Amino acid sequence: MPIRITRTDEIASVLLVAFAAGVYLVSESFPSGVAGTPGPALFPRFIVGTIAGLAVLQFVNAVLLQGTDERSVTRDDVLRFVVPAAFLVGYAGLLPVMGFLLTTVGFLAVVMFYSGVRDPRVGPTLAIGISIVLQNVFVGFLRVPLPEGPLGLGDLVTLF
Amino acid sequence: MVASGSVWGAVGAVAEPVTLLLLVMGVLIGIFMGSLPGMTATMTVAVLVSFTFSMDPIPGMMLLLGIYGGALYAGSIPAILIRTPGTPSAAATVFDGFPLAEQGKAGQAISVATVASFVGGAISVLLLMFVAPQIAAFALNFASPEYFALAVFGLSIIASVSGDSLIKGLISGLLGMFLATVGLDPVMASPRFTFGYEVLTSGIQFIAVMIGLFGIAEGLYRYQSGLADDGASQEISGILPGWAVLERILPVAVASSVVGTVVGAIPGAGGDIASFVTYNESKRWIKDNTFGEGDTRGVAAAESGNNSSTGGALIPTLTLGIPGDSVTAILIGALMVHGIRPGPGLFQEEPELVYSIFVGFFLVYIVILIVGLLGARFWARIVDFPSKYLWPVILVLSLVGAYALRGNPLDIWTAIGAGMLGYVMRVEDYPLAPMVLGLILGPIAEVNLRRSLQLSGGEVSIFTDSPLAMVILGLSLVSLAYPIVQRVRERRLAEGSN
Repeated sequence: MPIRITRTDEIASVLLVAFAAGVYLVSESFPSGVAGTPGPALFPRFIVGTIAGLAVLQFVNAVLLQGTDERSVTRDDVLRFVVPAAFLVGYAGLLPVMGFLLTTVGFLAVVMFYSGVRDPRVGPTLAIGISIVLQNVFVGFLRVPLPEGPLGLGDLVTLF
Repeated sequence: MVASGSVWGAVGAVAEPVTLLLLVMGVLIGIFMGSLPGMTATMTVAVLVSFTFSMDPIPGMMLLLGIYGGALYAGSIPAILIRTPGTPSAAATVFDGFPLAEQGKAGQAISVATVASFVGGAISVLLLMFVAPQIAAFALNFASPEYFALAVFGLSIIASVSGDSLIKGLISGLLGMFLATVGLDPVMASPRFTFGYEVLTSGIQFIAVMIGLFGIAEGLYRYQSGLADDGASQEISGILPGWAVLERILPVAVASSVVGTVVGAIPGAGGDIASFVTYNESKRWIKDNTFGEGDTRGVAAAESGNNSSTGGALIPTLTLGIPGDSVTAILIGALMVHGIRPGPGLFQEEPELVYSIFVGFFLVYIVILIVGLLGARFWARIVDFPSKYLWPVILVLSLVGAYALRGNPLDIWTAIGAGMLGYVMRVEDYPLAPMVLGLILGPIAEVNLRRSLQLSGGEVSIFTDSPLAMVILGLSLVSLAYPIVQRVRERRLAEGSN
């Protein structure tokens, strides 16, 4: 059953005003300027003050237009965002722990499967092949260090 | 005045085998990615910029310029074949390219697009070569007040690139400016919004944000939309253009190239705006046109306008350090990773780099002409490349690219965060281009504002005493007000006709 989300502009406006208030509060701890010149707080305050003003305008605009910003969201819509986002977060979390090669092979295999690659030979083969190519390009050719991980597999597959 | 010694030095630098190879590779990668519907040059450059960090600046820039030129050209291929532009800047090419394909003349349309792209790119690079040094020499007279005014002018362009919602565009630009304040204050070096995390004192990495906004956000959007592939392309033939076709399109292509270069030089105005301007102006000026029904001059006008915006965009980028479009914003970031700050000083401090960019970019368009004409049948096949293989690889390249910036996991999290923000912004119709402008120009505006006030002891007269600064600030007001006035007028006209 789809969920109707309405008044997204109003919600965004409220969030933006809250954000502006938060930034203003945090900037209270910044030092003052010297010899009459503006300190570090001026520019951020000017920026979020303007954001707050525009957010209020947007809120008023949205209230006057009443109900034109509405969308229907199903469970599948949510999953199709959450699942890929979770893959990305998982990659970032595992990369320093498992190392580049293992994490990338796992990521590519899982994401390709999720994307519709169902042949059990194609997905894993591409995942391993592409990961090894990237390892060689970044570490071997470009000399960009990537996390090794506990097994030290990177050295085994880097040809250069 | 072009420094002939610098040009020959640059020719030598670009002619190095590895540099040439990277240039050609860049063009091929750009054409591959640009041929895929919906892939932008910005996304491609953002995802692949990390490959250049360990290279010397000149070879690195050749790779990126190759991608830039190749992607903008190749967007015309799916635009012609399946009515879906490969890049937003190829949208105007659909109007006459697709009707030509429907008439069985897809090959002719692609050949016209290729020649027009070459003409547009080549002319814009020649104009860049002659105009940029003059502007850079003039800009050496700029002091903090003038730079502040210039940054404000660049930011005022946000109003023009905000699309349908001016308020959302301005909010997007201001958010970009805010993100740029995280880190050490540029004047007093006191930490801002770091919350005690030392890793944030160097600020939020601009390239990581770009990778997130354009690479990861697009990926999330594609997956959320079901990762659909577009329709199959058709067979093409008759790729090499005849003399009759060339005679017909060249005058339009040359004129559109000049206009496109000028439009491209306006900060924030990229190939998409340039191509529509040149298409519309050509339609207005050519009396016997059949634009919209398969007129080759329509394809030529759109494509030469699109590709000439690249040289134009490099004018403010190299001479003033103000990005002409999103791609040149990333190029600025790439140069800064190498410790090179674009601006008027660049022409004096790094003449070989500057002229290598001129020479290399011209070469990019020669390669596009050759590769585009000879490989057109192959490029047409790329339109069908399945997304299920492509998008996992793009996401990995985005994540690894973000990490490769400085080997810091924080940059991957930054890219992911920016990706989610970019996705939400896209769904809620907040344009991304203003955020890019804000990220680059916000710090320039702040530093020069505070430096000016420091020099004058807090007196605002330092701005009013500079005629140049006042002229630029006046132009900024016009630039900000004009779209607002236009919209009010259009609304009143619409109400009047109702």
